[in-house]
Amino acid sequence: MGPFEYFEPATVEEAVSLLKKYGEGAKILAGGTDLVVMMREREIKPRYVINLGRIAGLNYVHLDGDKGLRIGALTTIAGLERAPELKSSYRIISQAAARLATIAIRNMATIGGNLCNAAPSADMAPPLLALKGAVKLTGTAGERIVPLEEFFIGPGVTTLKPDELMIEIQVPAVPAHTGGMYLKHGVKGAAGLAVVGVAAVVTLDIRDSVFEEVDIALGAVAPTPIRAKRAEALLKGQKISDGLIEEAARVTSDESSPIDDVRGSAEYRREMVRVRTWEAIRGALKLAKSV
Amino acid sequence: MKQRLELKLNGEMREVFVEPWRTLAEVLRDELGLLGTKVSCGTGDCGACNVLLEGKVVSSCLVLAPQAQGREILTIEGLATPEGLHPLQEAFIEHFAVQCGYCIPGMIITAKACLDENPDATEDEVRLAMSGNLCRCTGYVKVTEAIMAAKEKMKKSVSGTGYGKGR
Amino acid sequence: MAEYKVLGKSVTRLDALEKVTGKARFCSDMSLPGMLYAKILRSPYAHARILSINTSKAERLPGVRVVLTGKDVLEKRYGLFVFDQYILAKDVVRYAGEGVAALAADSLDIAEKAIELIEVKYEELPAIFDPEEAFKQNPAAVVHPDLLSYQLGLFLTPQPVAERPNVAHHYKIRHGDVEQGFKEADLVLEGRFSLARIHHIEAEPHTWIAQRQPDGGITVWVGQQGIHLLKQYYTGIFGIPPSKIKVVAPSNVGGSFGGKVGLTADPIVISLALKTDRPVKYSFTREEMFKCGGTRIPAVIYIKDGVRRDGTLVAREMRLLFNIGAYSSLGILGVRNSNFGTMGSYRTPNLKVDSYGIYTNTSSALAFRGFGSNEVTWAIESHMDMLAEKLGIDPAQIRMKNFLKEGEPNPQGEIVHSIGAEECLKEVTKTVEWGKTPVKAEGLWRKGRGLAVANKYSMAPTAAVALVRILEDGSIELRHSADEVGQGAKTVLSQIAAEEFGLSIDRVRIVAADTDATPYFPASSSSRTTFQLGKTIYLACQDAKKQLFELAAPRLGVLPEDLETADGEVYIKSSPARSIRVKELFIVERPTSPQAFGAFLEERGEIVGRGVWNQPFVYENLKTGEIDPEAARKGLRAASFYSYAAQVTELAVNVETGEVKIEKVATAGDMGFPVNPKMCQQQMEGALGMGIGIALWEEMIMDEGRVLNPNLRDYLVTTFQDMPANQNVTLLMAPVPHKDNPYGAKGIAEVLVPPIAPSIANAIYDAVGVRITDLPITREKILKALKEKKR
Repeated sequence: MGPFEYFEPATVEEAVSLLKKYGEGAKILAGGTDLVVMMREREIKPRYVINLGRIAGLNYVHLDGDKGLRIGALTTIAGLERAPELKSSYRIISQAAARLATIAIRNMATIGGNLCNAAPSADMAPPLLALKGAVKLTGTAGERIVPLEEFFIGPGVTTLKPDELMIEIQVPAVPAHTGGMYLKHGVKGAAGLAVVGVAAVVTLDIRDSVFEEVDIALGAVAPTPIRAKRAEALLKGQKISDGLIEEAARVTSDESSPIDDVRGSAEYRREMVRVRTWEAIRGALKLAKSV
Repeated sequence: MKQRLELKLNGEMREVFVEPWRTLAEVLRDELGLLGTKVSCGTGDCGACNVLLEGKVVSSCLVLAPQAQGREILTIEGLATPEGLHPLQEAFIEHFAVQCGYCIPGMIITAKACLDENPDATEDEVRLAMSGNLCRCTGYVKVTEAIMAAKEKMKKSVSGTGYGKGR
Repeated sequence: MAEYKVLGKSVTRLDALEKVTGKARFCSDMSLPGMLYAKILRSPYAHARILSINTSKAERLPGVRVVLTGKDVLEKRYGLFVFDQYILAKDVVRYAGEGVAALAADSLDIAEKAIELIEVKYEELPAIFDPEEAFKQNPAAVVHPDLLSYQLGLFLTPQPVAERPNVAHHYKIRHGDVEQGFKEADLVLEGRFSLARIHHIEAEPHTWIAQRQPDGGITVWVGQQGIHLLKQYYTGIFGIPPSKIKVVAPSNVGGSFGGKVGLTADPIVISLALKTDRPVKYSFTREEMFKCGGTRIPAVIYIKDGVRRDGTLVAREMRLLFNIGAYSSLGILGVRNSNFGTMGSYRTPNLKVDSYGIYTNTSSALAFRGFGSNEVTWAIESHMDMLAEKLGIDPAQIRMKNFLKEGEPNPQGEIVHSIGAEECLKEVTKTVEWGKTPVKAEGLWRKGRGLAVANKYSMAPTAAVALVRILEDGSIELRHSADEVGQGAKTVLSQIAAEEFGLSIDRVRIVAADTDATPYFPASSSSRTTFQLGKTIYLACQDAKKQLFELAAPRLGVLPEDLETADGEVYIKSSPARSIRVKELFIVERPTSPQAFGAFLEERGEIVGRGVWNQPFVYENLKTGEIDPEAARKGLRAASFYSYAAQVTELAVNVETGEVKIEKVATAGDMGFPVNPKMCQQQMEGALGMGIGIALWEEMIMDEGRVLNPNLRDYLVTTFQDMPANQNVTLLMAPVPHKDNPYGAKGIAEVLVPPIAPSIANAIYDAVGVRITDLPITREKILKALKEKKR
């Protein structure tokens, strides 16, 4: 590994100015669990490494009533897994966090890192997409908020400009009678990277047994994490029925565009999207009924 | 390019000068002679290099040396006290949890973190917490047995010997 | 059974304390003053001509001390059976990962940087990867066009096939007349099975440190098995006399499972060391472990069985196609040794086996736990269930019907001795109440159970020597060359010495394996250590005790044969109160004599007991695979011994996802005599962990000869969560003693792996009615088969 020049900015501003100064030659280190592997395998050889780890105030989970949820970009995955704020309405986030890699990785890896690395299989993306999350970026040109849906461009590629950092993840408030479920399908168990990741968030109109709002997001089955919008539209406003859920699962599967790789064939992945979506919607429904 | 690195290592302040691209595993092994921490995969997938950083288990092959600057590290060498072995170490011996032994330091360190956080962990919870530590020899049966036995011992000795949380 | 004090007891492992405290040292922990670090440049192409190599930039980098390419290494090829490999590629590379250049530098950083500065131009050549394609008479590519002119090793005499240019070795069995057998059969069934390329995943990557010696010799520290084998190999390759080669295995090796037997980068590291006065260290990266650190031999197996209505096996024909990779290495041995698996369990009046070692442009195979047995057992044990179903016979019954019995000849002609197949099967079936219909679950998760039996030979010819010294405080020092790869050799062998001397185990000291200090033993491979070195240590102890009693007898006024020893005392058997302490026999204080500085025995100086065991054996006839009946009658065998195992697996299959949950397992093993029962359990549990992964998901995914998953993120091994709960793992001992070991003990480590995959496949069939014949049985394969079945 190396050599590189190493920086530890104390503030976001300092980090941004370093990014501006060193541009493409610089890489940001948050938890380091992806970056160090890439450097070790000599996939990337950055000349400058900027560790954000010493910047204070970017590690938080704030629950703010009507305004929703804000997560500091440097919050570790383990922090999310354990956060008391994520035990009810936003349980799907801690659920996904608990499925990400190993405990030793989760203790270092950050939510910002997981999203900015933009792996199609990133475990944190589907639940945050299904919760209609957005990310707050800051750079020389100032701050901007980008819906997560628009943040991912391709495998490893995002809308982040070379001089920008992600500082916060924002999730709108969750209405009553909402439940969410993330299911990760691996080569075996939940170990390793996702072969398929499915997040479903369902808001229920309890009186009429109608899907008031449905959001479905998928990981590892397209160049970026995606939403299954046709399936969402199919369910929204409709009376809940097993047949309809099955249909939505099929449509979700059609919306995915997986490839063959070492973790599974496209055909198997499409099938698992169907199976896991069906399960995730039903699981989310059950939770929605209970809250 | 070498930078000063200060660690509170196994309860003792240590100072070394290393390049920033050295990993914590390399610093421990090559600079500080603590060879108990093993490197097996180099990509954070096997748990052999796990150590505690501020009480939390991390894969030291993925931590850059400066990320550990000024922080508290516990390695396998720091687990026993002058009074004796840690209950996990005793249990690993008694329950035949050791074979080739290359993964064992990482196993014991991860198990300590698991039980520190969850002193009443069930077998399922232990298996989940330990699932990032790979072993090709044992099939994990006796390792799980050892951790469950150590759990009981640790619960009993929490107030007495100071083997409980932290350190 | 004899009453033992130390044997048969679960004595705490001698290596456990140092391993739980982080004090255990492995080769990868070693460093020597002035040490250089090596790196090897490896071919990215599976088959290519090297047009040019430019090392000048690397050579100019400060800190680089030696750079080698194919031009700079020995002219001749080397090999273990076929001399088919250069130390570094000359002109042509034959697999992606083959060494093209190597260097040693002051630091690993410099070495890594320098290796990237070497420029190689290649011209790609047509390559071949599939063993069945490569097996053809006119294959698309020939890996070794000059194979027929290559030098062959004398042991096992590889048999290339002139009309099949990629075949390195063809081994046959011709027992009886299979055609006649098939005519007599009521049912003839054929099948095709395959096993993916898998890796050992030893925890410690292979490591070497080599240092040239002033006398022209070399010392090599290895994180491998078999110091004496390696010494022999190094002598053969480099022509350095054996008296000038020293091979040392530090007291711990981080796992092997067969992957650290034989040669991988050894010749390259030694070549580097021979060019410098400084020691050279080299460790594989995890990626290199996958690309060039040896794999299990991928194989395709054809099987045709003829059986009578009652399940009696009358004829079996098998064709084994082993993909041995670009260089034959140990693959040749696998081709031959697979045949034991076809003969060790079942009475087969007519047996025909053709086993081929086939070159392809992939990395070389090495031995793998269950070497040769895994492959044939996968096919045979799946097929036994398929036959049973067609005949309407219970799977346990069809096996019981055909097991060989003590005293009868097996298909090879060897007189069967110490066969535990039936005992193992009886134990597991009794424990799980086999035959009672298990609960079948409806819904998504369907349940099933399956069983399988396996045998594993231990190789002959084989020999071992051990030395036992009696120390001045009455302790015992053992000198033997068994490597401690985690299997527990240190503890088990020390238990034997402790038993023979009536000592507690802490009074046995072990000298670490070092060709200068510990005597001949090929390697702690082929499950031979307890059986063979166990016997040798027993013999050495008897020799040492005889000498001890001769010394003590006059002091006690009796004959040597009246004496016994325990707790550091020699006593009279008939009146144990009359004794002398061993240390009293030593002279330690003689202030006026030059010998005052140490303890010694007045007449003999010291007592060194020697044990030698050269396994009586007979080579098989290479035309028939059979052994001479006369030799067989005299008790000579082709294999050293056979161990046995049986497993019942209960599992659940998800019909929508193809997921498999292993719910309950019962394993029985025949180890002759469990010297240390808990350590036998360790082997059983470890085999289970490994076997589940091998059965269900482990696979090196290859594309054009390149490994696509050379890391532990994408090559998944069994974790804590994949195992059934502890209470659902039942381990059973079914020991059938062997007469050639003083305690009846046999090796158990390997045989436990082969039955796991077929027992899982059989259970999956029981659960959902699909038969998967290609390992691993992935979720995807199950789901696909379920869909096809629905159609």
